Amino acid sequence: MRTLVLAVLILGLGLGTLGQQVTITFWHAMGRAHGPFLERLVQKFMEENPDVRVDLVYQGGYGALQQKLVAAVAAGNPPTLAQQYENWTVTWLDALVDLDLFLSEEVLADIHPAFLQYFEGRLVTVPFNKSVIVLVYRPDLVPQPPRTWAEFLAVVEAFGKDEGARRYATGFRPPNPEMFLTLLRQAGGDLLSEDWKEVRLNDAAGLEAAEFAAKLARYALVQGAYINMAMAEGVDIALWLDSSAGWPYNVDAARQRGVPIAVAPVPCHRTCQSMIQGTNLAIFSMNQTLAQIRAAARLIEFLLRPDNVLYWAENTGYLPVTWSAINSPHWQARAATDPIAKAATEQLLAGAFQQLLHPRYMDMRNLLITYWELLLTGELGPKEFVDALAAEIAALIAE
Amino acid sequence: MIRRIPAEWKSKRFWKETVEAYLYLLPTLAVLGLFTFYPFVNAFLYSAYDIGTRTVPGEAILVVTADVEDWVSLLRRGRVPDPLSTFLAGKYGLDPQDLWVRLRQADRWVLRDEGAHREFVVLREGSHLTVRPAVTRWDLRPVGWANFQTVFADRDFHKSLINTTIYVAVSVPVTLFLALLLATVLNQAVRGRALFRTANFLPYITPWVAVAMVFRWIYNRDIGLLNYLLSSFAGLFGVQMSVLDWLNDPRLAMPALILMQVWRFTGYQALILLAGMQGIDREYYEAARVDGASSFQTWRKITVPLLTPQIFFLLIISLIGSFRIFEEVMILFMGSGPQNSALTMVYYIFRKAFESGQYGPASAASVILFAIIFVLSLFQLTVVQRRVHYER
Repeated sequence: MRTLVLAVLILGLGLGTLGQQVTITFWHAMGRAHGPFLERLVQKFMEENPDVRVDLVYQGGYGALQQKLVAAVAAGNPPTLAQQYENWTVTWLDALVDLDLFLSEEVLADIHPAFLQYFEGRLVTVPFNKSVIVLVYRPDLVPQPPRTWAEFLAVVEAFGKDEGARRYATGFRPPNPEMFLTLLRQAGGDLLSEDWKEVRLNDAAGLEAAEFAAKLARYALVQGAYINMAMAEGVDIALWLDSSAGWPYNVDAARQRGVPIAVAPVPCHRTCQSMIQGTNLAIFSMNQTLAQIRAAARLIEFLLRPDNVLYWAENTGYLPVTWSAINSPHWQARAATDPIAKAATEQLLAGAFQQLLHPRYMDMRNLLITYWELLLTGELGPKEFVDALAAEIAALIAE
Repeated sequence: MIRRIPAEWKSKRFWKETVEAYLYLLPTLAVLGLFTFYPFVNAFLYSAYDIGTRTVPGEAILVVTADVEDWVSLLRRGRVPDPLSTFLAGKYGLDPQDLWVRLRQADRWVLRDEGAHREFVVLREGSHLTVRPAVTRWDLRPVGWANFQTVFADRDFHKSLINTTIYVAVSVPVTLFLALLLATVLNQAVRGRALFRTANFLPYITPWVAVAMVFRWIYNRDIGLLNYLLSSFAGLFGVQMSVLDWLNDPRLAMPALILMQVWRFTGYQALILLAGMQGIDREYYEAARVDGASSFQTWRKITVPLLTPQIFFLLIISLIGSFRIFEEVMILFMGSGPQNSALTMVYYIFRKAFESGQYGPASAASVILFAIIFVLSLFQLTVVQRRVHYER
């Protein structure tokens, strides 16, 4: 009898605890390479916060995650927290919670300003897995990485191009127009004016960026596949702009070829700006209780804690997104030995910008891809390129 | 005219069997309904709407003209003004403690009632504010033909339409013709015929990703097999061939895609045609031989006409399948090909929906694609079918 009473009591206590526990769902696309580190972080969060249970759900690649989120939002039943790109966020902006209402001022102030994005004036996302465009080079072909556009062009022109010998000074992949956007910002230009009412692309800065890109393109391998693939196939490319997230693939390709590889910040011009890419985290309000939203905000604060930012950056190769992590002795020591950590951090500190948050950005990007390719292949001159692209973008924003 | 009720309708057994038959069909119908008919109908519906997740306001329940700036100042800081809490508590019987602000913009604030999961929106309209009940949902706003106009005005859509038409117009007849030749060869009593048949079916059952990855290598500009074979062949005649960049030259992307598709489907179509050939009555061939017909005459006057049901079937199936080409492009070119030279209609639809989040125009494009396939299939079923010979 006594055993029975005890069992009932224990069960009652257990149920009571369960009743207080908040369950939140976190959808992500971090696969075999990075997923285990996210799982460990979430496990640690649950150990520190026994009142919160996190259902961490791997949804497949980014494409699968996006499609599932689209469906879940349409059905009014999205997860509490999800990893997402900016162009996804703009499609369900009204369904998200303003994060600055839930995150402490210290946490927000610690985020590097290059990563803070305001969607229609609202802070609805925080950075999660971020990379930045850097300069990858072959030290056996280019002993010193160029630091300015003038040096960059000098190196490229000196190296030249020999298609027969499969040697190219540089390389561009037209489906990545982020390289042009980086040059555009470095020339002091931008796609649109600050209020998004006018196209700025065809001003003097835009033309300068296009002219510079066209000069580089004369000696470039232009292909749809990633540059590391060409390198692995035996093509010699001296230096090229690439995302810091692509570094492991470049290292693999170099190892396969038995050639050295190095990385540096992007050569500067008027500014040293380079484009940031990658996903953010956002909290959905649809079908969530305030307790769930608060719990998700606690998880975000946990992920932005210096030790966790460092753990994530060190193990995945993504950028540390907070000042406390970037300036920590731990990360400084890492940067002293790890070339990509050093180059990406230097680039971040030198200057970085994020994607335009215009609702039609992806349409603009598709136009950019088309015209960027025409510029790279020489089918359009720099002036024709900026004028034609500006006209198309102007028509798009006028819709 | 009075129609008589069929006699079997009166029998209990008839109804029992009918119900039983439908019960067996139910799982298939449910799956078809959910995954085929429902999305099909919705694509039509969505093509007439502007679709998005929005907080949709209802009728105004309160107009605020006094202390507007005080309200705005509080709402900006994420606080609910006391008069608003009091008003909503009085009107809806909610607990003021349950109200919280979740969205703040320059002229719009959304409040949540935690108790009943209701939402309210405060809108700045000129010099005053209005408070309205609201709901955040997948919202459809009728726009009439606007989505179709958007799509028809889009240069990428024109490009995708032209690319898809070229692809279909070349790949469908070429594949069918080669399949017919292959089936004719396989129909001969040659040694190892079973092995050839299996080998021909292999491309069809090989996973798409593997096929496209292998073709990426075959088409490689520098180390690809195709360029090697072509230059070796040209070398035999003492001709120096320039290197072809199959995957990066906009003039070559579509031929590269067509070549891959022809390789993949020729064997499969040949097997279907072969099965048809083996079903042709031997008596026709014997009669032709007695009449002194040559092999080619026999093939042209007997084999091909009697194969028309299979050819017709393959024509419809491959036409529909070819208009829907998508994954092959995505994997082979890692995008829509150089200068959109391999941008097909389905790729365009995918890009509009999942990259740009423009579900309305994407649906409109899918309706246009459906209309094209429907009209062509109708043409085949009415005009082409008249030339199909069904053996009785």
